[in-house]
Amino acid sequence: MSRNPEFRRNLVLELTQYRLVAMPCVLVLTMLLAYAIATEPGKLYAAGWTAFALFTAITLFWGTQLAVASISDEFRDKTWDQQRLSALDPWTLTWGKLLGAPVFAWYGGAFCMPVFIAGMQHEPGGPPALALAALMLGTTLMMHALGLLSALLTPRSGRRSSMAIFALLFLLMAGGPLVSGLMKSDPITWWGIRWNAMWFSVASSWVFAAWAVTGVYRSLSTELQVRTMPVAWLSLAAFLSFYMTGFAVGHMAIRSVPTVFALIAFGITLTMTYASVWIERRDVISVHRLVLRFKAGNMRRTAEETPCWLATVPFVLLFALFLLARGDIPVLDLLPDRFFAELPLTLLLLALRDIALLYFFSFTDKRRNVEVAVIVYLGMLYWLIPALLSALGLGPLANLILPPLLSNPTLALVVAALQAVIAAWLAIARWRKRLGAIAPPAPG
Amino acid sequence: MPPINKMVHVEHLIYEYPGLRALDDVSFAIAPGSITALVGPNGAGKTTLLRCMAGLEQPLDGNVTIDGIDVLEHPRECHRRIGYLSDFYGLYDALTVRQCLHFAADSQGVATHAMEERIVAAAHDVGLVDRLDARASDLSRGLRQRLAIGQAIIHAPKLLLLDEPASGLDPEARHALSVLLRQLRDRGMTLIVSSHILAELEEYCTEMLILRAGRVIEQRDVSAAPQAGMRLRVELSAAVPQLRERLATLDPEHITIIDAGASTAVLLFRGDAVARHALLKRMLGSDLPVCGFAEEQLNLQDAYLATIREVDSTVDGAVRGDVHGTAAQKAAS
Repeated sequence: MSRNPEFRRNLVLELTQYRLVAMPCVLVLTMLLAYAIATEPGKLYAAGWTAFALFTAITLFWGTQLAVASISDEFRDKTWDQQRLSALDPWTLTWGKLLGAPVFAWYGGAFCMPVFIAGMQHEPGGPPALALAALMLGTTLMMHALGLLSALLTPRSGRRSSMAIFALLFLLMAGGPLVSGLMKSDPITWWGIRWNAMWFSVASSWVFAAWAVTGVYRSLSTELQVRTMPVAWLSLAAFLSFYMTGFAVGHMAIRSVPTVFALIAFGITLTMTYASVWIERRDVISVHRLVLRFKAGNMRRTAEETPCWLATVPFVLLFALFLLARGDIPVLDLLPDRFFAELPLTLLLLALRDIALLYFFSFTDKRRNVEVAVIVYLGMLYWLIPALLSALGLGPLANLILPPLLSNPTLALVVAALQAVIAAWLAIARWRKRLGAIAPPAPG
Repeated sequence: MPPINKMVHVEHLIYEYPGLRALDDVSFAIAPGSITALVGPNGAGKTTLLRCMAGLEQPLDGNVTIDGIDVLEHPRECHRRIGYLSDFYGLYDALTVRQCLHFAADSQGVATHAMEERIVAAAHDVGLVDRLDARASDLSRGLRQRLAIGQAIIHAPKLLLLDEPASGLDPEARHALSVLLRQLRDRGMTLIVSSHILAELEEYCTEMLILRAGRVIEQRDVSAAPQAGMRLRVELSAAVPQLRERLATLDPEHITIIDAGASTAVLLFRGDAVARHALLKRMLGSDLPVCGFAEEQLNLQDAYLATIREVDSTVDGAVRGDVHGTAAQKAAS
């Protein structure tokens, strides 16, 4: 790490003599204050919780902000090209930024953590201090990595809000088991095995932190022009499917594990497809480049240029078809037969329709607020127009706008397919038109 | 297969922005040890071309080879061989000059034992030895430019790409820059310099690459420019209407009109003394009141403008040909 130029640059900038002295002074005085105003026998306990709060504020939240700034400042100060032209490999830059940018926040956290552990251990019946500390460390690392990732993806998508979707998705996946682990003292059953809830949450936080770091590595690889295929993205989908299915296995109501796995994998791959398309580049040129590589028969370059959302679509389709074929097998005793048969395929077609619409609106000259505009139009398609038509007594017509997913699954499938084809045709037509407008300049 | 004796080899490069083809089938090669002026009007594609060569942008199609390495396939290997100064470069303002150079050297993989020597050498090259402990934020614009160049050359790259390096510099700093660039070339470095200010490029460039509307319209050896043509200044004792048109008809084989007013004109003349005498004779024979007919030093700007005008006249001719051809076809039908 000491040979990591980016880490060393951050050390020089962040750990000045003044800061090295000021941080422990402020922290020690604050924890002493908490100790002083508390009453015996809870003095150490109060100091411990104060240290926990300080760690959360300084290392977790401020550290994440520092991690985000380590990328956004480079763009603002126009130094990012220098980083991209350096001989640093993506791993070196990943660790240099991940541990270097928030190093001062970690420095403060290093004073808080021992006090927290000591305070918790001193209190009989308190939460397991070591496990909670390990959980906080894993979560902090994950948040720092997510901060870096969001800053890296923001300039590519051009929208700060789009990254929030990705972050929320990730936190949703990771956060549920973590929080449940904290709250429950009962063991967690995962893949039929009973695990200590707290330590399961700790392990999960570190595994998700590793995935977030992998995401940073892949994004930095793209920035440094190191060619990558969407293997990590597909691996994440496979891991999440495996991880989430583990909670369902062993459930009394489940009869078919493969079908449950297919159902969960379908939900995860569909969500990842839908979420990633909002983040990735969707301009005429990136599509043109992909088409050219494909037409040239260069499959390696085609795979490298393939957007993540497109890489997951075949798997979504695979799981949807599997569920369609296994439709007669009830997944849960609680749900009616064939409940999941056509629904997955219909949902995929609706997602493809939405993606095509997003591309259609992205292929315009004025690309400002494309995502917001599409969200408004989708709101009209999913709610406003069907509700209006139903209110006017035109229910059958409303079914052509919002497919009747539950009342008539077959009709819903046909309508969704029709809408997807029309949206795809619109997007392709506009793409061709825009491509034709990029005429080579006149000679001379 | 790129020629092995070329430092840079660009083949059929195409780059598109949404709604615009910025580079259109650009091909050229650059010899090692040369300083190439990359010139062209705003929006010609100079910066895009430099960024593609630096491996910072992915073109739609085409190949770029630097020192025998395919930039698009192995960009990281190429980065070790090139230095690049962007038009809108940035510096780590909180670091000192020494720290900036140290970080640049460290991130380019300069060995620890050679680090200090490289830092001092780069600072010496760009004239910042006495400011090694000054913060980057405290430097003037000219000194910041020097520091940025120092960072770009700290790892002794084989190819240095400079995008508008002299913009915003005072005359003294510009002269210092041209001296530095010549020194780097003398050490065997190949340089490509983009600039609007042709007079400054003239001091050190050996080749000129003219880019216009995304296409290379000329690549020429400007170190040999005086042999390729001479600049003739024609002065008349009285104003003559449509002087440009009258001169253009006199000897289109040997002259290109660089500039023409009512009573003066500057021509690019390609020919020997006999042809020059014949030209003067034709001028006098066509009742032009010539009172001055003298050679001037051909400069880069003249060469650039002459090329642009030649291309324009070729295009105009082609368009006129097309129009005439279309009219003839219509008449025939």
